[in-house]
Amino acid sequence: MVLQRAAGSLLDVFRSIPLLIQFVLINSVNSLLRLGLSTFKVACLVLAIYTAAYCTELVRAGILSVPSITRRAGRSLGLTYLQDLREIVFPIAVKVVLPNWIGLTLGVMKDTSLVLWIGITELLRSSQSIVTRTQEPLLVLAIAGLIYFLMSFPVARLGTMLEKKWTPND
Amino acid sequence: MNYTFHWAPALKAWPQLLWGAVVTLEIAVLSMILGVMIAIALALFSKSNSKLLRGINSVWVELARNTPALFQVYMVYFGLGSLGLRLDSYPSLVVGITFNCAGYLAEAFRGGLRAIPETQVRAARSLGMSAPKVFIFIVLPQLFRIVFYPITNQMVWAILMTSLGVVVGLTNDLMGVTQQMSVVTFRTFEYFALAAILYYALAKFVTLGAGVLARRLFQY
Repeated sequence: MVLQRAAGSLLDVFRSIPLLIQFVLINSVNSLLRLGLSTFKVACLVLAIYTAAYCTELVRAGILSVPSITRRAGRSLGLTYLQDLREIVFPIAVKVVLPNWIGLTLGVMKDTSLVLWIGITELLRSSQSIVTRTQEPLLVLAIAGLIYFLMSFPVARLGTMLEKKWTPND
Repeated sequence: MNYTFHWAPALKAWPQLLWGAVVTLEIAVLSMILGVMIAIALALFSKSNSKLLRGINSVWVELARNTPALFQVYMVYFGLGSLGLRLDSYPSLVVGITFNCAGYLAEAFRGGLRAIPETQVRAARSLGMSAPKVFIFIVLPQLFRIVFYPITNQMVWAILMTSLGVVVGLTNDLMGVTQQMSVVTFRTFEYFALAAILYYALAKFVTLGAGVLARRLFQY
């Protein structure tokens, strides 16, 4: 119980602090402790922790969505706890979790634009440096936005489609 | 680790950081108020018969949801600037966050509108209330109860999003103040740790306050 509450509040911290600040903090910890990680690795690490904080909630909601009667029935048929998780909870929970998980993935994909602050050149940063060269901010930014949109929109559509398909009795 | 932490100068800067937090909250509240109003309009657009209004709604929602918030702020700051509409970093941050919040909230409001029975509207109309009156006195109060949780969530998001202001050169919000001080003193970790604590406190303040408010408002 204590562990549960501690984990919950720790993850809550990662959800309540701006990602930009998390990048700067972990980046400075990296240089203070002389860990020698590249900024790319730091960015991946921060995004991974941040994603984990959100994903935990999704998985929890998924497991809770499985009726406890179903699980009890499985257990009383002689399944072990792990078998119950694998054969009963997983197939049911996946249908609840996957659409939201796709949404989370897209959110993280959009949040990657923040890594420009610790000096990684990604889509937005490189379009900004093109802007300083060509002095055409509207056109270049519109193209960058279009690229983001084309990456995100089809997957978002897939997510809503799966959600509609898998929501029971709707 | 041969690095000594210097917390004293960072703690001495506490008042400035607190003022930064106030500015951050101000930006978030301002853009949430605007965002909620626009989101209501967009949700109504999505139900209207006009193809143009429905188009505006879907373009706004899809753009807001499928591009990064940072891109949206950039677009307002640099993109609108090249159209001759030069906004300072403060208003362009507010516009950017408003755009983003309105897009996300419009979806929540659309779902909320669907949950209010059509029969209530018809009953009120047949009692002689005008359409705007029905919306304000019958639909809106129930709508706010349904979307209360999404609104609080979005409010926390808005607070976190204000940190993007530093990228377009805002210097007086919490992130901007912290950034400036850490650049001057090279004490990045200390200042940003304090800022992180303040952001966490702001977010907790909003969620706890919303919980108290919900219990007072929706007790029956």
